[in-house]
Amino acid sequence: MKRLYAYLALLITLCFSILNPVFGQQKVTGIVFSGTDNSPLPGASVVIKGSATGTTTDANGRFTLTASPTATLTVSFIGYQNTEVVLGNRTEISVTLAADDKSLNEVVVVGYGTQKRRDVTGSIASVSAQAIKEMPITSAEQGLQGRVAGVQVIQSNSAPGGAISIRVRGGNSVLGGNEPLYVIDGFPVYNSIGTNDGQSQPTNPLATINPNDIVSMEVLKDASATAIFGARGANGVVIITTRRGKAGPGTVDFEAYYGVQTVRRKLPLLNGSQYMDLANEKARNLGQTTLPFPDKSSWPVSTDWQEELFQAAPIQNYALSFSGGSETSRYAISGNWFDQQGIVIGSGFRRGSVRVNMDNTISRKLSLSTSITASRSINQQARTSINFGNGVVYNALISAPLAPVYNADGSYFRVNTIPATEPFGTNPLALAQEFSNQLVTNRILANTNLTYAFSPELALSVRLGIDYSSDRTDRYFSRKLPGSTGQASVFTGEGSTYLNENILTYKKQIGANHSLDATGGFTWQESVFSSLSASSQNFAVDLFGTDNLSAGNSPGLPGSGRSKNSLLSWLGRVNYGFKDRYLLTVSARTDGSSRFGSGNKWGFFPSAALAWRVSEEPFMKAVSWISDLKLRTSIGVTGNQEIGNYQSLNRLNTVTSIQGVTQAPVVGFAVTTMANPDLKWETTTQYDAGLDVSFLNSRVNLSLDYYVKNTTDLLAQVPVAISSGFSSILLNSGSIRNQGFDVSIDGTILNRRKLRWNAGLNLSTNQNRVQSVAVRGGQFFAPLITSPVDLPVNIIREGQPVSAFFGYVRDGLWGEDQGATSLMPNARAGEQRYKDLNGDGRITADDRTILGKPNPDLIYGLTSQLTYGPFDLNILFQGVQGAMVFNANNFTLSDVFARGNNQVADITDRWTTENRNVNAKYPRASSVSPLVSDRFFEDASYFRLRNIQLGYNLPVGSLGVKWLRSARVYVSGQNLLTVTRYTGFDPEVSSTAGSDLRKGVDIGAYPAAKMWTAGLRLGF
Amino acid sequence: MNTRQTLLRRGLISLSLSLSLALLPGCQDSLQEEVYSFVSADNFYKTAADAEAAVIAAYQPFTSDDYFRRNFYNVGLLADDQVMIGRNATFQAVDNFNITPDHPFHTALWQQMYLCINRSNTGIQRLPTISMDEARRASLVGECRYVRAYNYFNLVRLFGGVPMPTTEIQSTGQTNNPKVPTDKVYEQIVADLLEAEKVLPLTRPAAEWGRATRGAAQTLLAEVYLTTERWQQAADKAKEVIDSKQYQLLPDFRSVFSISNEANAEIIQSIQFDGPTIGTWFASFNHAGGTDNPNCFLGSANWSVEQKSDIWLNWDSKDGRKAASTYDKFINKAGKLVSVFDYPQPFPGFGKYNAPNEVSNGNSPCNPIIHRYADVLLIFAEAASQAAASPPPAAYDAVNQVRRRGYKVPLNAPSEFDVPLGLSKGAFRQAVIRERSLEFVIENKRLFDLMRTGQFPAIIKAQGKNVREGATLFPIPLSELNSNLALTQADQNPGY
Repeated sequence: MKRLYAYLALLITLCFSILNPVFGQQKVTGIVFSGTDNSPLPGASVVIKGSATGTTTDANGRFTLTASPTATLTVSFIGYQNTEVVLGNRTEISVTLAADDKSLNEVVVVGYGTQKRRDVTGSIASVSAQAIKEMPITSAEQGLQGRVAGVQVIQSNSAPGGAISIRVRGGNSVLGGNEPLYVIDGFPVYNSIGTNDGQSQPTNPLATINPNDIVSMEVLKDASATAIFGARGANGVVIITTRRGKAGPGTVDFEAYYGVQTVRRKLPLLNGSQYMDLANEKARNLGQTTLPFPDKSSWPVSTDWQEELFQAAPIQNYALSFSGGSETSRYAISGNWFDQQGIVIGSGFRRGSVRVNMDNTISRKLSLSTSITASRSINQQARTSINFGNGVVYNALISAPLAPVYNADGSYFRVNTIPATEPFGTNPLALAQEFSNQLVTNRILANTNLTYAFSPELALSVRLGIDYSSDRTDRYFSRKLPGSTGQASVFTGEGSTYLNENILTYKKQIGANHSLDATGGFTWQESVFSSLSASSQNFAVDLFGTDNLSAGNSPGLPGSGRSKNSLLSWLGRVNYGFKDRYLLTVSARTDGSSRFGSGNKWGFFPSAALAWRVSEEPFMKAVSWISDLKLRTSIGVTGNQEIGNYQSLNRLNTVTSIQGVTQAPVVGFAVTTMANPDLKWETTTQYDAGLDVSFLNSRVNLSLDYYVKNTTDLLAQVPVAISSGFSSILLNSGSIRNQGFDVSIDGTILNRRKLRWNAGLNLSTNQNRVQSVAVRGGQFFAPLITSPVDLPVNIIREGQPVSAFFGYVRDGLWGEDQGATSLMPNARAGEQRYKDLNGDGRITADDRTILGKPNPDLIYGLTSQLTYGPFDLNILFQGVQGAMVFNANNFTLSDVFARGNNQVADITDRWTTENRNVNAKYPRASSVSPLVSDRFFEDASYFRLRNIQLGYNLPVGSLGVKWLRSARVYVSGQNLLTVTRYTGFDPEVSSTAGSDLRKGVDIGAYPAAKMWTAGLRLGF
Repeated sequence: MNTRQTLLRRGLISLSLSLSLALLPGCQDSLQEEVYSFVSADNFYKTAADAEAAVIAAYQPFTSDDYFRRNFYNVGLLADDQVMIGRNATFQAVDNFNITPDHPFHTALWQQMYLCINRSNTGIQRLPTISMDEARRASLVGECRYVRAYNYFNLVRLFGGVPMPTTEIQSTGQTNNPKVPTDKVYEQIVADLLEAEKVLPLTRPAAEWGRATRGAAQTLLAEVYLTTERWQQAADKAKEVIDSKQYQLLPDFRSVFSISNEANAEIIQSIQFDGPTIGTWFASFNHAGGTDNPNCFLGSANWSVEQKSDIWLNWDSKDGRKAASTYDKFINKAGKLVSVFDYPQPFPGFGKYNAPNEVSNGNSPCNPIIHRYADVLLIFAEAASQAAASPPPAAYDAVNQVRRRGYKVPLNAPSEFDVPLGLSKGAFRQAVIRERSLEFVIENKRLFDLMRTGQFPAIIKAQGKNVREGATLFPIPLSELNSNLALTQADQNPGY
């Protein structure tokens, strides 16, 4: 924190040295009007062109400044066209700003360039800074949720700084990465979501970047837009642009918010008394004579473990930014401090970051644009492991509600010593407090782009950049954890990515009818990663944590590694427009990647798109209610190179075994992978047909796209005969198809003088289908879910969605004890009955079938911005339909005490010897574990009030506060309302992330929070 | 614009252009992957150290979760008639011997066995080209042959005929190997072991304890002969081991399994686990009573005593092995005698594997034993009797030594607990098989005895287990059938 202040102080000094006051000669006053309703415009910027001098209009739209008679004033305001006024000898002026036809003339950032919205031929969606700022977010991509058709944001766990997966138009890949490519101020970054490390759920690398700095995000969806990114374009591209300085007076902005998070809902579970009754009932059902709780009064304590584990957690964010500059030198500098504690005690995320964006005009032809961001984030991770039994949330659910948290001597009560309890549980509070897992990441992302304009048409840009990150994970199991003798480990990693891009652009209007915009160049990117780890256990004291590994009596094996990959590319694109109405885009990229096999080093990725601006045709001029109509279609090929390093090589790795009377570790070398010199990228061919239409002077805008994506050469661990000693080889084989519609519609419903109401709806469908897999049976299973499930629940089968759910189908309860001729010969009355789907007269694993899928059919978002005078109300609803979740928690929580753990509250609806109801929801209490059946696959559709924000803009002008430009206060709430039938904590859940084939699984995942925040924004 | 600015501008442009151009040719090379943290096969298998490392790798899959840490025993123990589990459908499918070809346990085990085989094949093929001490090299190749033979022996017993690659597999073109009939698999096993016994050392230095010896190869060969009912050869080979005088029965049965005495004189071949770094699940799996049980991290009752089994119903209490192998009462951590039937998993436990200071379940240092001297004696007894017209005195003597040790009476003096004299060949064999069932409780031998004597799976069906109709062997894993182009559904075992 202290260090951060020091950084900020340095920055402030830096800014003031850049500011260059200019003095004018005469005093000018004026007023600025809105062109839409002729009302005065407060807050409009008035700047003397070519200088840093300027001001903003007050509450009555008035301004005063001093300028020379030769000066030109530039007047600007968001939503209006910039207007220039030559002053002459006037000392009093009036300016009316015409409303900006925003949807058409706004500039859209595309790969290696920008375009006007009306000239775009591909499918590109934009999210504005305003929308991003409507709700508190940890990480940029959260701002996409519910706002962009075709983009699914999967908050796989709600832990602060937890992983977020983004799917643009469905997942293309089974084993390769599915995350889009992020381009942050021109620097391409792949956000590699880690896989579950068995301790905590994956973290989010993008959370190291401060979302406050973002001015816009563009999501490139179709191949016409993404093919320029070649072998990295198949999963879509998200272009993030941060705020840059504008010529004009220096501005200072301060933002802060503070909020409180609480767990969105607690699961209703049995209390102590009900728990003991159930335990006794099971013992009686088993014919045991000794009851586990003969005298219930000897267990007076009833602990609500959820109450103990969850806390009301604060979240706070502070950002200070400076921007401004002259025509030749502009700056935007910001500092940010973000601190979010988790609702699970012991977890949290903190980030400090500094960004410096500089734009310099060195000469008429030469300019330099530099972006530097440095950040440090500290992620305290709770133990929410996918491995059953050692997760903190899972333990809080299953632990008997009878145990006190602590013994009289202050040590943790051993919850697994309670009668009738399965011996696997660990005191949840011990897990939360005595296991620490801290990830610290330092990251510097810096790049500078030098542009030389040979002529107004031709320019060369040379970009140099580096993305450096170093991280360190410290993990410590204290001696207070049952069974632990103190166990410390440290992992460090260091990664550097270097970038060089050389881009030539040529723009030319030829005559009245032809416009040409060509881009071409060559780029190089290389990443080097190294790691080091050490561990030790058997500590005499807990004093050191991970700070003195040599204090442990048993050091573990150290580890280290190093890897490198590089990408070399040629790219080109031509945009051609005829009569402003027939638009053609052709692009191509050739990528050479070190990851590809020696026989397939280079891939070629072309695309073409056509657009027809129908509204520009003479015959459409008469249709006045259509202000713009564009038909688009595109086809292109993109790739996915996220296949990991060194996958094509024949590798020998170390393996460790034990030998000798002293049983010492010994190291051997064995071939662990089979070479595949033909390994290459995954290929996605995408077709897109779309339509953009604006009605009523662009008051209503509709965008509609239909797409089909065929991904072939799917990277797959293709099973080879296991008898070869290898289980699989990485091959390009198999295919997946994604198709669907993206629809977005937004409009201004009300536009009165004081009252303005904008609303938007976006929805998208996606149908995902495995076309072929490289296995003879046409299917294979995802990895196992660990004990007590001990089976895979996801299957990859031809004709089905990726990772479809698989299991038995229930068929009520057995009314009588069964015998040898029964479907289930050993079943007793009241036990679960299953359907004999293959009709062989026995319930076996062959009776399993497809039960659903984890990915939704439909995702949607609903936005509303209501402005009334100085007040505004912003609302975001968001939801998914047709998704399912495997509720693995319930596999234990509703096994009717088979494993002796606490149960869901509605377990009372069960078969008992007194109430032999074969239609009861749950079977008899016994030691019989349930099978993986339809009972555990739940509908995870939901509709959610993601965000609501009420703001008030103080009329600073009328208050006469000269030093204040703007002031805004707001309160907001997140996740205040969720409609769902899912019985777990939250339907928006996935205990796995990244390329894990186990999808839609909830195993003790970090629960979602409900949040209230209040904040303010001040502009000086 | 002044000159300085122009110069600066030119400088910047030429700098960036030259940077870009300079990078270009370098980049082309950079598409070749540079490796740092592993080696490629072409640079390996050159030195004596490489040879040693290759052989360590051949043994290494034994210590995996899916082999000796637990899965081999989950498969072998649960399917037999002595062991059951009271929960978890995935385990219970094995307990009932009613698994489908995609069951995870036997699939994972199959994979580990072939991992051993391919690494052994690598050693057998690559080591002879390495220039090093010839005797050591021959001995290392002998170890690879032992590992290969042992794995094929497990495979052929569990699955019948199986694919049988005997050369190193390096590319996809070599992965599809057809199913080979059982007699051919046994031929290969015998050939390997005959080679191995010639070159393996009689004893190992302390640092190499756990690596195959001549005795290990010969005992395995004796068991192979026994399984294939080559009685005389089995008896002769077992006799060779007995006569080598390298091994003996420990006086106290329990001490054979003591974790403080694992390199004892009875052990012929065992798999090494230290516990904290790599440990087995044996202690926790074979005990009941959860964390109340002081003999393991937590008694999870994954392997409980089948209460319909002969050992539970009929085992003579005077036999010291009974209390050392099964229990229904134990002294809990509070020092109180408690009954397993009062626990949520109310089933008797096995007490053979103990690890009182285990740091977590799955960290017991217990070494799974492949062969110990009692095995040699019982192989000899059964085979010598089967080879003769009636059980010879030496056969009686061998089986009685094992019994007397169990009953804690002198090994070499006749006792009241001896197998009664004058049994028919058939009755004697039955007595030896039963002796094996008492001696080797949860040592993963019972299922193989039941299989080779044709009692499986009838014996567990008689216990009321929901056995898969028509199945006598484990199914060839579905993933093997699907991915091995040399196999078709017709190669699947009956019943699947």
